[in-house]
Amino acid sequence: MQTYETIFIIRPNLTDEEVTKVVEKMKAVVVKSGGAILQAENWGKRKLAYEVEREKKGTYVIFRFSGDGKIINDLEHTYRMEDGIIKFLTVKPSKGDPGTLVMPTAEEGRPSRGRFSHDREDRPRYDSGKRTD
Amino acid sequence: MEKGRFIQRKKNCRFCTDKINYIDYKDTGLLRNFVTERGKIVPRRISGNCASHQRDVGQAIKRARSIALLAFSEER
Repeated sequence: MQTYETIFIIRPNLTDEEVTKVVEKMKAVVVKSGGAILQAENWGKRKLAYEVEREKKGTYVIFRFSGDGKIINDLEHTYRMEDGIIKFLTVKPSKGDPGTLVMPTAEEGRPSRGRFSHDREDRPRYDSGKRTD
Repeated sequence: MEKGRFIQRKKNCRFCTDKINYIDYKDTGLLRNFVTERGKIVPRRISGNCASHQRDVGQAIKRARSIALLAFSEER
């Protein structure tokens, strides 16, 4: 038995009901494969850091579950089959993980600034760092 | 010291100082401190991280990129 954390992005044009349906489906896959959902969180619609399958936004859903590694096979297979899911990631939390699933608070999709700006090719740095898109 | 102006004070690993032993890939606010405006991972000689924390930061950044929380490269 292991704890895993899985996160996936749903297409933004899906309605709330469809999103709930997809999430329930994924939870059902975990349970069906012998796992147990520990925590689940919906981050809502967020701007993606880069375009994924022509989408610029996406609904992030994340959950933690416990179970055997074979669940991941089933789960990721289902992810791939599901058209509403554009990206996913499953990780095993490393030691010292407090287990929080809260949404990152930083503003969305902005280039970093401040502490480090040492890229050679970024020079000269007289622009304001604004994105052009 | 003649060449004193080139000598920089030794940087300490901020994670060791704060006794943080877990770096979350979801914490984009933190990770943004360790990527350049271009989206590159800041090298250890500049960030001042110790080896193990730099590895953790790198790992977290790569995970964040994979799930579109951070960009692989930032256009200008």
